[in-house]
Amino acid sequence: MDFAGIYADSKDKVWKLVSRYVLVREDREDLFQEIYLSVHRALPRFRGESSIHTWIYKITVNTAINYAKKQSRYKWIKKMLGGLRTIEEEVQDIATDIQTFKPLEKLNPWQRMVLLLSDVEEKKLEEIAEILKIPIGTVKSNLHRAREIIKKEVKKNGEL
Amino acid sequence: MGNYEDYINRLKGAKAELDGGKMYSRIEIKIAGRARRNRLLMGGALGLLLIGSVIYFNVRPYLSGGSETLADYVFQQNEMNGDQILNYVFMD
Repeated sequence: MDFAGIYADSKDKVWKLVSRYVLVREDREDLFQEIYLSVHRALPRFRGESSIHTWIYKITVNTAINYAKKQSRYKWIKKMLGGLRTIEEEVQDIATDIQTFKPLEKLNPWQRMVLLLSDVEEKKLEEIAEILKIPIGTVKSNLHRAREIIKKEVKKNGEL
Repeated sequence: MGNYEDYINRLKGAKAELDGGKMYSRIEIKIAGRARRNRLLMGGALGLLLIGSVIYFNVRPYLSGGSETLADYVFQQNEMNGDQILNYVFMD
């Protein structure tokens, strides 16, 4: 399958995950493009050992986690510098679903991804462990912690 | 748990529009940009290699004390001074 075909076939699924994982519109678009650049770069090395969808999923998830880690470093630098707009302020600019996405901000990149894959995308824990290349015990502990944090946030913010 | 489930359902239902065509154009531009950058880097590396090898092969004989130029050769063979070398090289 060529790159254009892969893009047409997978873009909606990738966007769905990206748009829940990253809160700011510009960052979503940036990450989305970054994912397909990685796909384009890795395509000649794709040997068809797994399905193309699983392969793209792995690239999406790993690129997203790396992106979020980078973003949290920038956030810290922005806070250090002060006076500049923080991510929270940028999130305020999103007209829709602010309240829905805001509790996700409290999770670290791994917790957020595990929660989305497990509870929103409804993937099995074994599958998540394989995609993220981490032990299943780590998936469980991340998921448990993520759920606790979200429950606390939902309770704190009242009815969403 | 009720609140948590409601929250997850809201997450599942949350919509974000994707302009697939616009995104594809941007990705294509970035792919072309990176290919151009890679070509430039490759060209630069080859250029540096070429310049480096020219300098290396021209300077090395002097560093190792060899007698690679005509003047050096004449001087070493005949034990002439500078003026004598010039006369020898440019004599009719």
